[in-house]
Amino acid sequence: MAKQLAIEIEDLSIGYGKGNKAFVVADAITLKLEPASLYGLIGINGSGKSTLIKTLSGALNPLSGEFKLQGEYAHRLTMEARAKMLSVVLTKSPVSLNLSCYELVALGRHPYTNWVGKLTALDKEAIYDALEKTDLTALKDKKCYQLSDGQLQRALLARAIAQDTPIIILDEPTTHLDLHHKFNMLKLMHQLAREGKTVLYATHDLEQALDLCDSILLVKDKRIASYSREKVLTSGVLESLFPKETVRFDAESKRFFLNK
Amino acid sequence: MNTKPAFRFFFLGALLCLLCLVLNVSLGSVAIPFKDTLQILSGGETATSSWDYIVLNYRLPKALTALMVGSGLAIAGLLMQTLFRNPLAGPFVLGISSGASLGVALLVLGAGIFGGSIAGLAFKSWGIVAAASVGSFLVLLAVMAVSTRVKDTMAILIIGLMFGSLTAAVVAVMAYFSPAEDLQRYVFWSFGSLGGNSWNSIGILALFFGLGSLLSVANIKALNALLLGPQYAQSIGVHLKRATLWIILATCILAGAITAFAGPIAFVGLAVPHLTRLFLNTSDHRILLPAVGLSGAILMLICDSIAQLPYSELTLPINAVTSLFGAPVVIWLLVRKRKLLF
Repeated sequence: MAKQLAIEIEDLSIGYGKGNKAFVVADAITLKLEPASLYGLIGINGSGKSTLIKTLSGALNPLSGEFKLQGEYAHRLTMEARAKMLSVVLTKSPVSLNLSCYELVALGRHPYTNWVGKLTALDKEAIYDALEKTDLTALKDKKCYQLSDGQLQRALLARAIAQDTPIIILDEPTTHLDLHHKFNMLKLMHQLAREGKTVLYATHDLEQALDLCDSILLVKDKRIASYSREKVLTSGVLESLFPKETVRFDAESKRFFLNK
Repeated sequence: MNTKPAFRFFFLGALLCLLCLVLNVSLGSVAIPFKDTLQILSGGETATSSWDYIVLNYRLPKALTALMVGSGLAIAGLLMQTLFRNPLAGPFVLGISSGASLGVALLVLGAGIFGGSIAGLAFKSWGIVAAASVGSFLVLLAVMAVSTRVKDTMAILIIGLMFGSLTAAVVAVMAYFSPAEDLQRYVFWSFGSLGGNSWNSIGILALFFGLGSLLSVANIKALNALLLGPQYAQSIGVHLKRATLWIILATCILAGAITAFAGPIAFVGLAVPHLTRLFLNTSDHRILLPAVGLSGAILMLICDSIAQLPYSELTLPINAVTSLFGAPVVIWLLVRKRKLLF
């Protein structure tokens, strides 16, 4: 039997609105995402990265078409079942900064707890594991407003890890971080993928994505296509991503240069 | 995690609440010795039968009203602050008190302007309760209708504020054309009042208070999830629309019923959740929700004890006392913590 695909998208159309007033962000999306892989989602600002993430995470309904999570049609899943398959890390969400780091991570156990949210020994183990993995154990009692941007980002990832899902989707997790914290996040995501999870992250840090990801999902001209790490370099799509007058891509060194 | 300070808080809080309740009942314009008050409360009788009557039929209902009003408004405030992710939200942002005010204004001021059959109603206290209930219920319906259409909770907040301005304007116009004595009646209602409720009204208030509290407790898990923002909440399995509706409904039941019986009481809903957070240092609604309810009850009992100016014939409007107390607290909090968090 073939390996179970993590996400299977078939002729999906994403965007906002309804009926003939709908605004299509991207359509005819057909993608297959495998387990134990790291995917980088790249594209210029406003190209539809966030829209795809919102659609996959269930915050937005697709305009047409459907997709499967772990072999099951997403729209047929209950909210709870979906929450056990897919977790998200959102950078722009207004999280209450009055939560302690531990409380924040503990909310990842939400789909598993009872009606009032009581944490069992199993839940606590998952929380401490997630804190340990993200190197936050020492900071667990700190309030979120006391954490630095990099630490908060790690805590948000720890929350997703505690949710214990085979799929993790992150919206620009490395934006606004210094190099050290940026690499730290990337290392964590890479490690999670090696452990068997499907990790998809939207990013503007193309050079690191090219180094690290198993595959690149490229959003361009209302289309989203998947390229293996090797193919994305040779296919010429990166050269055409930005206007030629300002940005030049060198496939040899995998670097972007400013055209002076 | 931090169950120990929470346990101590609840233990001391319950004791303090009981103490405030007894203290509240024992104080008033008629001096009744503390020992006799206790005796009446514990089912005994005293030599002076008028004392029995005052304590059992006036002071005790008033104290219980204060308890439910404080507790309910504080819980409603907590729900709104979490739902709207806004530290300045209170139970009245949805326009509930505006609706109640409009209802009462139409009855009291309208009676003078239009005269006729409603004039009789305006002079019965249950007429005012009914008008306030209908007013807040209508605004509730409007807000619910809006909240199913509008996705953004901020928009609901602003719509609530707009309802507030609209009703204030209508009330102002009516007040301009009203005779002085009608205006005075309206102004007295807007001062808020905990007293004057019969045991029957207390029963109705208790019913709504219980219903609203129960709904709030049932939504504790969703409230905790909402601390992450709506998109996260959805990603961990919360039905966003359903949870929002239930939380708004709980707020409307609590704040609507309370406003109907006690008038628009300011500041408690806004200030108490912040005060409680300061003591408990947690955002977990499993602890915060009962703690806020308890603190609200204590605070309201204290405010009411101050308002009745013990051993004097005078009583201050309860709204003045809560604001005199509440405003400095919020200012002090802001200066001390430099930011209010929800």
